[in-house]
Amino acid sequence: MNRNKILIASLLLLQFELNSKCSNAQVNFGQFQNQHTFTQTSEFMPSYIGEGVRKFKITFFDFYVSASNSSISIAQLNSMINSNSWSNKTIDSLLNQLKTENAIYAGGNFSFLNVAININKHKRKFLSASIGMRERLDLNMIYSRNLISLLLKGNKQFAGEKINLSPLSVNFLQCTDYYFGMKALLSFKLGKKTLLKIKPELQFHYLTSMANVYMKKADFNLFTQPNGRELNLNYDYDMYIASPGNNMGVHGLFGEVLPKDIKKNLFNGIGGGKALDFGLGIDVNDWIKINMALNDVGSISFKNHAVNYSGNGDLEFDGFSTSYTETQNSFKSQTDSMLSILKPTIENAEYKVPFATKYFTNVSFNLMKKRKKNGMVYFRHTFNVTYIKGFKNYLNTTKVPLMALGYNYSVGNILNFGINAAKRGSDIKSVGANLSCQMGHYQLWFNCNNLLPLIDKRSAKGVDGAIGMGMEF
Amino acid sequence: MLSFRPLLFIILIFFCGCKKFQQLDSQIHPEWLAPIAKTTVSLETLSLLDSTQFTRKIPSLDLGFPSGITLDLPALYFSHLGPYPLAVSDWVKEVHVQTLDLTISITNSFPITIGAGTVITIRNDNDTINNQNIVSQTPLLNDILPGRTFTFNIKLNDRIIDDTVFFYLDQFNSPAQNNVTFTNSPATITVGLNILSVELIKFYADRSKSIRDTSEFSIKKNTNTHPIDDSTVEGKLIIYIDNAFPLNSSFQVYFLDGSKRNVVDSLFDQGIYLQSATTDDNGSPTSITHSIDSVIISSGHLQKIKQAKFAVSSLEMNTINNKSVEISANKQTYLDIQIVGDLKMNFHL
Repeated sequence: MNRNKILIASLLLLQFELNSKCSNAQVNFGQFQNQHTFTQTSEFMPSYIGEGVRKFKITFFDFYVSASNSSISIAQLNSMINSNSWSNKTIDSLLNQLKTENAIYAGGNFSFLNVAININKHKRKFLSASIGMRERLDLNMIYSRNLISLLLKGNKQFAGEKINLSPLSVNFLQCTDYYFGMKALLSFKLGKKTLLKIKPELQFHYLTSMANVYMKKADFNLFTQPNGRELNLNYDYDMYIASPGNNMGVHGLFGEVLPKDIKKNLFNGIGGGKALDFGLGIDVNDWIKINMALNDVGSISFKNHAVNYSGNGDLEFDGFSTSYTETQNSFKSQTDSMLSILKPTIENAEYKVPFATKYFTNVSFNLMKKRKKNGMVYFRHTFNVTYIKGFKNYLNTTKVPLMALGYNYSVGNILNFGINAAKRGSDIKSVGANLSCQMGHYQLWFNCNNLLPLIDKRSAKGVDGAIGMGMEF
Repeated sequence: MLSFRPLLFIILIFFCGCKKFQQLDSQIHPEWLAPIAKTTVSLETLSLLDSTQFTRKIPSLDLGFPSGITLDLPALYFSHLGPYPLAVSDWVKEVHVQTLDLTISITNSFPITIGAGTVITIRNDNDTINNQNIVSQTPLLNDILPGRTFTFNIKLNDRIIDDTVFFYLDQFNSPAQNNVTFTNSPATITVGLNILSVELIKFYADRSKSIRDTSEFSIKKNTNTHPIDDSTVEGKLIIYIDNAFPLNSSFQVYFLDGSKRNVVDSLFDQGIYLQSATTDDNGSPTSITHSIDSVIISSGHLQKIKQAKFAVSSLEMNTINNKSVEISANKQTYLDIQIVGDLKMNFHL
């Protein structure tokens, strides 16, 4: 038992490296704690394949949407939107909320089918597999406090100072995800009573995408001379866009998108890729279970309908030249000339966009083991600790980890409900709840990881929610 | 000349450019510090001459024939008909031009033909014996019949033009004609001078020159649908000037009402005065004067400017108090003006 405690403590210590950057890791972590939704969890944490399932389970749908930002509370947002006047105080208050880097996220995960099967050998689970399809949408924007401060308060505050307007990036990825996962179950007897189960897993994803925005690089610096006689903008950006539209760069960034173009690429997409999820589950005993995963390791390639917009250079501005006689035309031509310098170089380009790789760990402590007549094993009380961390601030991941604590209560595995509380970075908190029921073979579930908009708008910085339905046999 | 129209246009942009957000009350005051406009005045762009077009009349008496009398004329020949002096400038003593565009028109209002072979000569003085003073000579290839105008264009390089040039019709010839009656209408020579490139200018000492340019100025007209809001902008415009011309200068912009007679307001309280730079004998600047001035943009100022229909930019230049007899300026002389805005914009969000 001491060995188990040391193992858990070591894992937690290794992972608790909270810091105070922006964070918006948006996965439905509330489903980790409810046995009825383990199959959905397996979409990104394959060690849950076949968990909470006797023989097999079909999920008809499971829809999850979320939106959040890292800095501004919903109360503050409401106040700004409803206010008839913005004062300098409002602006200062807004800027005080912003961090050096800030993020906005919106996305969704729409599972249309998931089938999980357990294969038994000598009446014990031996192999589990799952297959499914889902739509994934992720949009994130990273922006700097300096940029907002510049727009709202002007550049005089930065006179004599070179300010970094980065990061400034927008990333968007839509993809259809076809996946297949396998999990093996290896049992080891430790002592007389303890049975250690090791569950290595691998999940393969084949993905097609219809649209992507990938900001590979975006550096902007502005220098204002102390006396204002010269502005110097240094810029270096590299952005890729894939779209089913035609004439990209001519008819807007995404080109001219017609219904027929969407229809033509509906199933095959305009880009394709592969990804792997690696997972490891350890059932230390019946009461302590540890699941770990590294997911979305891979990339997606865009060959056609892909354009690279890039630009870099220095723009020095010391005033419009007035050496022309036709002044208005002259200003227009000079403005056009300046804007043309900033205009990107547009090239058709094949490119590869990485997925948002994340690392998950979930430790569950289960109490009061029960077995139903149909053989289904469940626990009346389940406590969870979840840790999620991305490797960069990109799509639905952030470098800042998320820590969540959850508790679930099961009434005969017919009605399960629970609560959770999560913390991202230093100041982003959320409180959530989940509810599910199983009537015969039918399961229906709801969950929300962020009920703060209903409880405390001053702390709420996002909303999300999920609903799903399936059949378990 | 030094045009202030760009400056006025920029001021208009700043006064009126923030109106699109004007739907709600606002107390946001972003402060911008940025260069707005700049201009460099060179010898070429400085208005050196009194005019770019000069006309000189040639009465019939210069041919020796009074008007109103009918005559039978023999063939005429004058080795030098003239001089016809044209005062180019009263403050420029001498211009060493690298490139000069000359457009010359002769309108023959005489009842006789001006014969081919007549030479139009421009001299720097009225000495017809010395050929060193010749600026240009152009012979007529065809006759100019009575009532006709002949125009030609020539480009001259590396010439010196004095403050007064003298036109001559050398080798003037005309065939014999009978029953000819001269009228009071003189023949005319019109000369267009366009200095493209200047090497050196020598100014007279203790002379001054005033240049004024009037242009339409209407804030309401320029902003089209959005009338100006007096509280949109406040702050100041800072003007940085580097003067490498050996000329004392002062400039001002006056705003006039619709009658053009009443001054509504001026851009600067006192106008901006620029101390002249000094130059050596070759006209190269030996010292450059730097000055900074500013204009406060206030709602009171804007209220007045709103009433203006015209703006007059005024540039006064002089060589007063210069100890030299003549002041030289070569291509290295210039006047740099840069306008920086230190403005508090009242955005309406």
